[in-house]
Amino acid sequence: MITVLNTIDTGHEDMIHDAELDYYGLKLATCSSDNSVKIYDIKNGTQTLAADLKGHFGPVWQVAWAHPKYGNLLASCSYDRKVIIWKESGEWTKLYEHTGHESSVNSVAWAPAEYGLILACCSSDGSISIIQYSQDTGNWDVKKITGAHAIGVNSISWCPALSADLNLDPLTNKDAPKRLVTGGCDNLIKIWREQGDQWVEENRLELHIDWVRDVAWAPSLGLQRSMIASCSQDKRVVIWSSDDNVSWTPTILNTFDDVVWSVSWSLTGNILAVSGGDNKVSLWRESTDGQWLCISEVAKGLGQTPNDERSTL
Amino acid sequence: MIPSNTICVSEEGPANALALNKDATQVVIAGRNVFKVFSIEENDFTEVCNLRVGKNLNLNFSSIDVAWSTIEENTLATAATNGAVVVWNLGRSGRSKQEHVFSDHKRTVNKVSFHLTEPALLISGSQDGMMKCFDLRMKEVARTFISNTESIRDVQFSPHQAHTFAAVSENGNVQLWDVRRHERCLQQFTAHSGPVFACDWHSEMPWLATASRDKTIKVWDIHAKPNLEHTIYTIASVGHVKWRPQKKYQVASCALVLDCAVHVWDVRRPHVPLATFAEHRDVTTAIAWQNDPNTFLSTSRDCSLYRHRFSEAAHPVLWANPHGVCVSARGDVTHAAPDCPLPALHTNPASDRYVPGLGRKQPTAGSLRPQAQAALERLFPGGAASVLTRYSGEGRPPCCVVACAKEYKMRGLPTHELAEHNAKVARAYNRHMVGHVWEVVRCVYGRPPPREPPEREPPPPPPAHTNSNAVEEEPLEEVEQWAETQFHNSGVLGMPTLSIYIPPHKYKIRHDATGACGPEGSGWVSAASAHYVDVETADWTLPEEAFPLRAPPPAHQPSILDTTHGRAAAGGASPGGSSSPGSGSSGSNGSACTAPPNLEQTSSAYPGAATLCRAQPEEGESGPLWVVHEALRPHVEPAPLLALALRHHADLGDVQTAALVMIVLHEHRSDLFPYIDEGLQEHWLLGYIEFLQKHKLWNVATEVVRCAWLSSVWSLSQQSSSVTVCCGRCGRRARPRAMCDRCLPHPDLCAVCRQVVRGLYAWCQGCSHGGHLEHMRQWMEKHQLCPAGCGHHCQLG
Repeated sequence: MITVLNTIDTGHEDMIHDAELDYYGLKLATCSSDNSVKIYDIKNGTQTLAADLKGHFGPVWQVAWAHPKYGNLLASCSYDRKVIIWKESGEWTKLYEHTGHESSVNSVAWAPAEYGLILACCSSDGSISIIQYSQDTGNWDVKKITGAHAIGVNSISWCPALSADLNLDPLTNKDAPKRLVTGGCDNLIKIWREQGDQWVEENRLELHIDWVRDVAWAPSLGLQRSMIASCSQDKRVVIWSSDDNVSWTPTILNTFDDVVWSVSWSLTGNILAVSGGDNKVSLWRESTDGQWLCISEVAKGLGQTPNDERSTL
Repeated sequence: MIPSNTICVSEEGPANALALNKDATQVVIAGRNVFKVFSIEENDFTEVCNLRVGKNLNLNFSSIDVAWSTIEENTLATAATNGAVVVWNLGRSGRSKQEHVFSDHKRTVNKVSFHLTEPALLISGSQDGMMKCFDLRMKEVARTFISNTESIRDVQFSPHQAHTFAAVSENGNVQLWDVRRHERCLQQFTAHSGPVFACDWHSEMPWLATASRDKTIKVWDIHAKPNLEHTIYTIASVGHVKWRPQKKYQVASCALVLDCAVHVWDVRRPHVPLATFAEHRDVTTAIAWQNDPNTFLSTSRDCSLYRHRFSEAAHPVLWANPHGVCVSARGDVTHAAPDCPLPALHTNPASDRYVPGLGRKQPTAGSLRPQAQAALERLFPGGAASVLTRYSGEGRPPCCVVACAKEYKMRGLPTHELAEHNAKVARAYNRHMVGHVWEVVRCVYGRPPPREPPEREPPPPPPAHTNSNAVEEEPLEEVEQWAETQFHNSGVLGMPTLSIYIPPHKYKIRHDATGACGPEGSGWVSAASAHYVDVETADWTLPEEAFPLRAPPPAHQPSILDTTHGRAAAGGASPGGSSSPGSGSSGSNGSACTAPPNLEQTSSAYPGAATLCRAQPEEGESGPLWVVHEALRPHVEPAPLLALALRHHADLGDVQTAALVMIVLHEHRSDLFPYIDEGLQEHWLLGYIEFLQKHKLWNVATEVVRCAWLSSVWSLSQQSSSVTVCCGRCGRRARPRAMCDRCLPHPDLCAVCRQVVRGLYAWCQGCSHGGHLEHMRQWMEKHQLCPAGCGHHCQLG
């Protein structure tokens, strides 16, 4: 069921840490330890190198695409303690450089477009920055949460604007709270809520017994509840679900053979891609009885489907 | 938290340099305010001698660099900030060990180095751009080398050719000199784009590593012509560089600013350090290997001296995320993974998982067992390659869903026809479950039109049943089969009117006594809306008791139906309403009329439980018939079931079906409202709109916005639309009401006469070409295409 479309020769000189597709799934950005970010155009299943962005002086850990209504914007974060926002206008140029962290910046995420142009990033110095573009002044305003996670924050993800707060209408109700989830080296997952102009810790989710490597808030298309996937050095992937964004229930999706590094939701939020230290990527779907089933699994370069063909949806 | 095998001693002041004696048992550290010799024990440093003693602690004691003779046990040399090169003899009796001061340099001396085989030869590199070779026996300058550069930062004798030394300077050059010839250098090349701060000779290969402010370490093969072999990219200016003994490809470095850690690199993997030692709290000022690849010493501006063991190293590569996975809007999965993943490296149980205290920023150090560390070292250079693979994830759905999105209809037809169409579309793409949902919608909210739409009066009975005798033989139970519904598209907004055909003979059967029914035509019962029929049409039985006889109604309108009828009529007049049932039905067949209760009433007060029918015979026919139907099976309630189905589909990730069914239901939509709250409705609609936008289906998305019944959704049409002004000539974005910057110098020329237009300028709004009003008018009289030759069919005025 899952088949290899193609293997991309990236020309990166070192390990690739992240690969992100843009809003439409037509541009692919990769970042690597070789300090570079590369952008590919994907057309008809083939891809061409569109840009090679050099500006970091350290391994680039993660990239994130902004919503296209703000133009083609890409944020990248690096071991060199910087976050760079790149913009395409003809060619790719540096739009803004954020240098407010004292240690490696590990993760970046754009807020849902409804909130404006807001970028969150988190660092090994234990702090989170929320950088907001002000249309009026043309400046980037930085808010910082210090001491978010002891020893460092590894991953950050936004709650979608259309979230389980069904009573709150994000378009008309300005008070719809913005939320963030972070995973850190203190083995915790924390949920942050904006209150006034402060960010407060709303929840801390404890279950992992080792560093949390990645967290991902599920896109909410059609889902009635919020879900957060987290993965950790402890080899486990946990799905946290909530009907009100306040109380969260964990479900252990699976315990893998090795460290799990990365999780990613499909657009509809019902399929989770998990990529782990056993060099496999696997897709998971929740069955009607709340169990998570692996619907397909591929070792690097090979396509295969375990057991059942999935529904005809 | 210091790893157990690392030892540390604090000093009075920061040390700028350190040097080991030839058997690496003692270390000397030197700085502006510190100058001490320690002996290196197993578990600690013991102070052997403090050289910073005496009455006159002048600038000669303020050291930039220190060197320990590689041959003489007791000979040290320091480079002082005041330009002095001081030689010390540890063997001297008395407190002061100072042997001799060479005050030949005019500016700060950056570096002193002993010759590797000639114990009496010492060389210095100074800020004044000169190198001086001192003869310690003669206590004089043997030779002076003039570099013709601003300043020399490092000088190092080659271990391969006894008389060759390398000097690096702030202008980025490397010079190779023969110590016996001071006239000119042997070779010179530009190594870096910024100042070079340090260099180090490889012990076996003819390699020279250079470290620069341009954040790189470069490895040069200077066997013949200097050739760049490797470049290592670090995050900060590199202050020092030292090859790791016995490891051909490994080199240690420390930064001049920003980065406090000592990194050990494998030159074959230039972007990620193999090992990192992050004990220092401030930048590291000097490093020296202890003649063995597993221990080295370092001093820092934080006033500490450390001995690091390699087994205590942190390995950043183990903590860097080697995997990236992303599911695209189109359902593809992109996965980046290492080509040759590292095997599971066994960690030291002792230090395993102990997360040190706060403030520690580096990954847990020293967690690897020796074998694992050796394996890592071996595999490290080959671990750089990643494979980026794209998979078609999830199988077919995305393309099918997109295709369906394009072909689905959501308005313009009655619900059941839309549902029928959409069911076909879904099945065409093998989405049978979705097709089934549509089928259910079709069945529940409408019946297919009769085979022969009765356009005229009298409406012909269904062909199969034209024979009234045959009809009479039909068993009573099959009555529901006779109930035919018919839609009349009222035209305005597709609100259907419904007629229910009741075969005349059935009336006869039941109402012979009344003689109410005429032989023809009177069997048509009409409802104003398909909604009215609801599910009862599917199992429409007419039990005897459902026909209580009433007195003939007053002339036309029975009072109980006044309101509803009036409302429907009013609705028919308004653009959003349906045609009035009275006019609609009597206009088409004129036989019967059923006035619907209004929708909310039906759904809330008695949803599907009871239906009120009234057959009103035409004028002149026999008396009117009242039909009050009370369904016998009120438990068949489609709305909650349908709501459940939609929720299920949404949960499965198919927000398309959920949103679109809600849209297509039109006026039946309110049936579902008790089961699907407004927040969820909005959620589905917005979710579907986002899905469409992700697939660039703008038109469909706009259509959804248009069909939306929630203010928060249809108000989207007034949001986030932006108009971009582009220059008509070059197509670049321009500021509103301003000329394009690039085209500003070019005035607008007439497309016909190519002259500058002054006065009135006429242009085609399609292709933006234009010119003199008169010229354009003349041109357009004769031609249709644009005078500029763009091929556009211009329309002027």
